[in-house]
Amino acid sequence: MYKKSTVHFITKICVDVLFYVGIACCLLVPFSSNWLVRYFNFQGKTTTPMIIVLLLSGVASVYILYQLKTIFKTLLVGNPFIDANVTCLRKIAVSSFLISIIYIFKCLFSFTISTLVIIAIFIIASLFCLTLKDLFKQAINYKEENDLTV
Amino acid sequence: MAIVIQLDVMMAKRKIGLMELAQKVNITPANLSILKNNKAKAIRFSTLEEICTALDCQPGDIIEFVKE
Repeated sequence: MYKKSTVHFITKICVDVLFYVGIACCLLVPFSSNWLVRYFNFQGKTTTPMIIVLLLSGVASVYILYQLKTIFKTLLVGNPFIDANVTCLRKIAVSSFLISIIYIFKCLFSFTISTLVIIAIFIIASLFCLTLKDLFKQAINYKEENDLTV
Repeated sequence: MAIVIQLDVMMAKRKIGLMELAQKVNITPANLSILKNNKAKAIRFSTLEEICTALDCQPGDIIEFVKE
């Protein structure tokens, strides 16, 4: 039986807020390019690739948050161990890996230590999600066996 | 499937319905239906014992091994 938890509720609100803020940020990137150039101190040639990197990584992040929202929806209903969540975790892993590739590409024209940290974090996140996906798969098998034991 | 549940045969012999048996065995009709339709993956000894008591039969009358 699912026990309502304040932690789940607060986390869901955080994910929701981040999701909508992420969408707003992605939509505003083309309009705020002048501000971005000044804020991040982009140099002439790197401006367009940097904006593309920000936009692509933003879209991937919003996609990750959307998948997390889907997982949380099933968690709050009390049935998180379903095949759909395994697919969601796989998609999150792929998106995280994509973000790390985008930032590897970014290193080619603008190398910083923080970019390396971002790459490492997203590769680890991707591997973690793949492990979590297998754990969920195993849990689904156990649940199915338990449900079908009379 | 190698193990076949013959619960419906025994129920017909004893002229007992699913709801009545579920009530006697103290499990939900949904679970008994899973067992009757060969969808179950396992059966607890306690459930088997109660079914055998309710139907006055041996486990072998309910469960059959069929060579594939």
